[in-house]
Amino acid sequence: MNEYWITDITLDKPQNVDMIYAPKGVARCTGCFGCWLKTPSECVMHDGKQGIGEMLTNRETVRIISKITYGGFSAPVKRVLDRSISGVLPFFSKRHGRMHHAVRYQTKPTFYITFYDCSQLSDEEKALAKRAANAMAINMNCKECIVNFIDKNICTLEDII
Amino acid sequence: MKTVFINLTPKKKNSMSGYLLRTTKLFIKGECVTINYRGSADDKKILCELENAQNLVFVTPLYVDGLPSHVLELLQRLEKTVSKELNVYALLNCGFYEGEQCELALNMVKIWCKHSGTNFCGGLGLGAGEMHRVLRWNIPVSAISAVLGALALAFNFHTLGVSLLWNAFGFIFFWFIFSLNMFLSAQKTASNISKSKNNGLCYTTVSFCPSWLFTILASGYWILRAFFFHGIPFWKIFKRYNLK
Ligand SMILES: Cc1cc2nc3c(=O)[nH]c(=O)nc-3n(C[C@H](O)[C@H](O)[C@H](O)COP(=O)(O)O)c2cc1C
Repeated sequence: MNEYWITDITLDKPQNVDMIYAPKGVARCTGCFGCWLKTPSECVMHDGKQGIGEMLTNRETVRIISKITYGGFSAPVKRVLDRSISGVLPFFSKRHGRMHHAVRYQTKPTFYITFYDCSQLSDEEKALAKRAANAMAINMNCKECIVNFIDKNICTLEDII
Repeated sequence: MKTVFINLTPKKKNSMSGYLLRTTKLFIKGECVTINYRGSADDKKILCELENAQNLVFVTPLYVDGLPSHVLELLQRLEKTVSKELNVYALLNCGFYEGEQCELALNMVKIWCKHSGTNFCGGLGLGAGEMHRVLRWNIPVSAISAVLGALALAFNFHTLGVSLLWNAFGFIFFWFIFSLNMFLSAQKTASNISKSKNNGLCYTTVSFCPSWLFTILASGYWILRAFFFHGIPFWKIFKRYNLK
């Protein structure tokens, strides 16, 4: 499957999409770097989510649907992203003038990031969320990163696509 | 003046956050308390210590260009309960060379301060965190080398003794030279914390080590660590997940 979604809200899964519902059953990264050095390309915690890194970096399309928490992804979504560094190598390459990780897969995913429930948020918070989303996508070797904001506090498939 | 440090690394020991925290703490004047955060069970302890504190310092690694998820969870729980009088600082460290990569996470702490009504007083973004962390091992290596060198000299192995002593000096020298920026920034930040002054957003990284040298040292480090700690040879690091 060439499309991968991470969401912190319950959605009907579209066909031909791998989807992860972040608030449920994702262990927290312990910062051990085992996914680079001990079992390269997969997390050492075998909770069924050890391949998250590959899903985030080796798909044509990655879609993330998240609330904004302090100008970044929500905690559940961040928990998934923290588990995903196995998708890149521990080595380095320079992109956009800064140091990043060398890629494990040649695929360059397009990231579509939807932040919902934005009506109460300041412009500063939204601007920071946009920059954080972009930085994450560049770290994961994106082709492009498209960010959009939805004011509604609930979102459906129609809002997203 | 009471300062509460919260160490937010998920690592149980030998973390860079712990090292940066202790270095900064050396230069703090006034009462200091450190809490090693391990999970929501520590919330009570944190709130209890914060009751009579003026300064709160979050010390955390950077994860994927933001605050780690467990830090977000803690911040969400603290948001409604902390005192609005607190001065909040953040000490971030990241693996990449440029300390500036911590800027996004520092600004996230700033936004948390707006939500919680506390007073954001800036912080520090330190680059090359993993390198700083590993460089500490130069100290015991140097000490052992010095002792062996002295013994060799005592038993009249002159050439061996002198080379071991030079070795000891080299290890200490490079630890000090590369960590100088970190010490200076920690000192400056600590002095601002001690006075509850705004630190602004400061960034630093290893001193006397250009980014190309960092890249060589860090890449070599990963290769050696994979091989000696996990028996993984160089080429296996590049494995692809779906091609088992
Ligand atoms: C899941 C994960 C994600 C990371 N993401 C980044 C990153 O985006 N940028 C960066 O410079 N370092 C990143 N790092 C590196 C850490 O910030 C660095 O190793 C830090 O020194 C760890 O600190 P600690 O020992 O206190 O846990 C990441 C590390 C982990 C485990």
